[in-house]
Amino acid sequence: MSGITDERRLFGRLRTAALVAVVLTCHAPMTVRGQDASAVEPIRHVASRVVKIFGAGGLQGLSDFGSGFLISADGHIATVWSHVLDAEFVTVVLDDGRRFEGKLVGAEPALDVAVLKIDGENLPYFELTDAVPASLGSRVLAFSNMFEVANGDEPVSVQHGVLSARINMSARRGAFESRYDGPIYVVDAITNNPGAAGGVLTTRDGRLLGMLGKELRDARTGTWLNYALPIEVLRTPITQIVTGDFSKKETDPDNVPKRLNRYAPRDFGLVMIPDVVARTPPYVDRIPADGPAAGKIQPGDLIIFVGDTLVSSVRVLNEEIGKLESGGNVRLVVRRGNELVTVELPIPRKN
Amino acid sequence: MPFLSVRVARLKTVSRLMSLATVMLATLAMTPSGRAQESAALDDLEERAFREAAAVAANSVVRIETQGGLDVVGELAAGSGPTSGVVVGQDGWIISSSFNFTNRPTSIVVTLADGRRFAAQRIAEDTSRHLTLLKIEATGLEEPQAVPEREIRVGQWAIAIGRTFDVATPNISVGIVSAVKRIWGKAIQTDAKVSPVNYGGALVDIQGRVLGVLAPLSPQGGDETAGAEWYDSGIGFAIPLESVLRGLGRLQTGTDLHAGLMGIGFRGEQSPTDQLLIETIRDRSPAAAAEIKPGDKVIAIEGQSITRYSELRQLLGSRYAGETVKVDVERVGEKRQVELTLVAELPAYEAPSLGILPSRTDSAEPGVNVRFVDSGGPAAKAGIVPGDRIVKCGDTAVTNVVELRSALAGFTPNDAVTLGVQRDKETIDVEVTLGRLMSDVPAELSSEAGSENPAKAPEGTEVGLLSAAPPGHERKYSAYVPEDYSPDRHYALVVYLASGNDGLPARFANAWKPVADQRSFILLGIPSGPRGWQPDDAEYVRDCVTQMTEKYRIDADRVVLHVDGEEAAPMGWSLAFRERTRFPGVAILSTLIPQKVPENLPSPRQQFYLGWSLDDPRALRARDALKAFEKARLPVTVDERPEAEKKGSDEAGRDRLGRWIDSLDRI
Repeated sequence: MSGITDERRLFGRLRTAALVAVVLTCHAPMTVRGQDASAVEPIRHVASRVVKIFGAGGLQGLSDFGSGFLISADGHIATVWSHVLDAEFVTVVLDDGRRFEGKLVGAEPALDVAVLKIDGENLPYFELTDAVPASLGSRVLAFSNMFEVANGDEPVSVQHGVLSARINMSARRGAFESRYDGPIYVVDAITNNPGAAGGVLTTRDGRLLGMLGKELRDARTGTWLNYALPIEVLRTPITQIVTGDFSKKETDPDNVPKRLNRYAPRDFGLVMIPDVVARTPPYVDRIPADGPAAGKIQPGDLIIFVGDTLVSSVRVLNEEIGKLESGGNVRLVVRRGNELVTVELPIPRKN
Repeated sequence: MPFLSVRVARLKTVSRLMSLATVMLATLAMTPSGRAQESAALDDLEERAFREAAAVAANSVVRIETQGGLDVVGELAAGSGPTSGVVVGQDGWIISSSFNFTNRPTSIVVTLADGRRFAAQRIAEDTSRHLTLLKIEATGLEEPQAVPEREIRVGQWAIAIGRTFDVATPNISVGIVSAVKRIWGKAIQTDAKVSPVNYGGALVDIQGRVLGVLAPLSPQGGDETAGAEWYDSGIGFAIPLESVLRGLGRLQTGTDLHAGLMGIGFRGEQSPTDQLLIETIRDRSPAAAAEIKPGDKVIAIEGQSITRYSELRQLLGSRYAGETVKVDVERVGEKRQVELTLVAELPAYEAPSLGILPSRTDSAEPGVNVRFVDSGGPAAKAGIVPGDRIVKCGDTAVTNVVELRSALAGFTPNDAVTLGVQRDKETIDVEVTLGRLMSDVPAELSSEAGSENPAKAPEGTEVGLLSAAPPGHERKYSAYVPEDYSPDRHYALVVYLASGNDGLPARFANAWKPVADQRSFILLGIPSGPRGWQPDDAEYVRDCVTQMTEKYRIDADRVVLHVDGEEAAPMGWSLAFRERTRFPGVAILSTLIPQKVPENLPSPRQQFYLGWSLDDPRALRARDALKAFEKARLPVTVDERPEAEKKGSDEAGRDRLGRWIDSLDRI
């Protein structure tokens, strides 16, 4: 972890302290339940199916370790698609200390998921079809090789929290970026740690909910996001990779959606104030009398929403208007004095 | 059954955290399987309780979005994401954390739990608790139920609710109350995850009643963003809703609320064991108005006996300006109670000034001889000229400089005062409108050191360049005493912090000798230790200065701490602020200037001479740092010039600094 900055180390320390406290207080009620083998010891049950992965990295703050989980008795492992797998040899260590060489079977970078294979048999594994959805406020457990705390034959670390939210991903691009913008579970346990990605999120009785995601910041608040990708999103691509049915989509990292500039505010008869500072508020400067906005929007109005998206600045307004699809209407909400006024403007046809 | 007993012990530990669990455990069957099943049922019930509590309170938690505003606040990128707020009045009142508005947004929009959107106005701010009150034009909002503060127990469930990710469903985090009355009685502490995702949202109990409003806070105080670095760490804070509602009426009228101040300073405020002996009383403060004096001891607040500073802060920390507080003070065995009305801001003390320099020539006649009159200053405007003799200030007869100073201390700049002035054997009344202490250096100032025909120095007095070590130290300082030193004269002491093991490097000594000879300065050069300047060198500096002041006749109000360059500047500032009595003059030539400065005091009086090169890339930052000095009304003289003007040896700069040191006893 030589490259980790002091700030991250501090957080790491705080998080680890919190983790220890939580594990101590919450262990007891978790270990008791019913007759079924998978429920008597949910933590042991889950931990035996989560693996430690060691591969590339170790430089520039990138850890060379990660987490994964077994999804077949003969050694298929689902994990996160990351630089750790970008090595000649990837070592997989089970909770009982057995070591295997892992081979990459395939990956779906759009979902940040990859499948490894080790040569094993009769291994414990998660049945992906058993995965359940969970509701807000449910208690959850997170299992991962975070900070490489678990050695050799030690099971991975367990954290406890509740499900904070189920939202669509909106992650800031940065050192770790994500192209995924589908649903995620947000938890209030601090799962956002080096090496945690690829671990699992389960209900408190050990049923699979999702795979812990990479270290990312939320684009909206700038805070670290503690989240997991729901299994129902991952199930089909993982199954397809395992069975060899997976038709690898375009994985060119440069193939990100281009910024669209189909429309500009002028197409709606809006002349905005000049975009001079980083967050120029989207005030309307002029409304040409013959334009579509005439009579509906007034100079001095502040445009707040385009559709359901808050436009925090002129720049965001231009982006949102640029993305509109030809035909139909766009709904704008403007602030006029202390009133919010909703107007609908037709989107001009363009090809 | 050893296994069972272990499990029972564990369950007990856990149950202490779970108020609900305690009730349920009492009804458990005592068989292991029964226990297991009940425990699982308990977990289910608890989860349901979290969800229901969140659902009950969620209607009162709103989403807040902002537009425009600054991109950067301080050194942090301002967040632009949605945040949360809590309904505090059904006709459109919303309270939120001020953190959410630090970037001073152009527009604020509130979205209610039912999806309705409203434009919001900022009404007022509570700067003590970092909360902001918003108003939207809506009615029928759902006010939450507040938990009475005295009912809040450490260990009870606490659920943090924000409405940041999704308008339709709140985001929640579950924890317990970690402490109450934190941050000097102002906040509840929780281990639920508190971050920009729920700042401004609600911390609720298991019944869905609101404990408090989530906000970043730091025990060290600071601005609205202090404490945000602790986000998601398990250390989160909420302002009790009950206390928010108490201040709500005033906020609703548009009145900002500020922490209440008394104007009392204690010795060693950082030490938790220290007694409540008052060291300073701020000028024109509530404490000064109540005639509390340094040396008094605070023994009770609102009738509650206290013995420690931390207790005092705990009792007063939650008070607002405008509130009255009963304070019991003791003065030499005599106790009395006073009622103080707390204020938001204490006016910085500003020394009044006549704009004169007193003569240092010892005289048999009572009064203060005027040596120099600052042209354009208050005395000059009133017609006072050099040679005049001030014998009265207001109704007080003054026989010497000390008396004149203390007579003036009761005034502030712009006050008018009548001076009795002796001129040509006549005494006239002169009315002077007092001004601020001059920050300009007299363009020309002839030196004046005292007696016209000074006695020779006694046999054995060391003059010229000398070197010695103070008692108890091995490190040797260097000094220069003018060759014609006489105990009849008044000398200024320039204490130079060198960077290196030579206290007076030849370059410095040669440049300063002529100034020292002309203006009767003694130079004391103090070398740094082998590891450069260290905090524990303060004692060595003190001992060097003490030895010089014992050996030579040095005016106590003209001892100047001098630093030239970045290396010794941190040590210089540390000494200057810690030893305010010892160093009435501080001349630091460096762009390293502290952002935090102590308050200006009538006594000890401290004046500053700060200089840097305009070519230095840090010059702008240095000038910015001056604002703190101006705000505190600390007298500062600035020497800010391009490098070219200094031409290496900078004789002009030294001459100006010499005149400044020669006029430190200004009145």
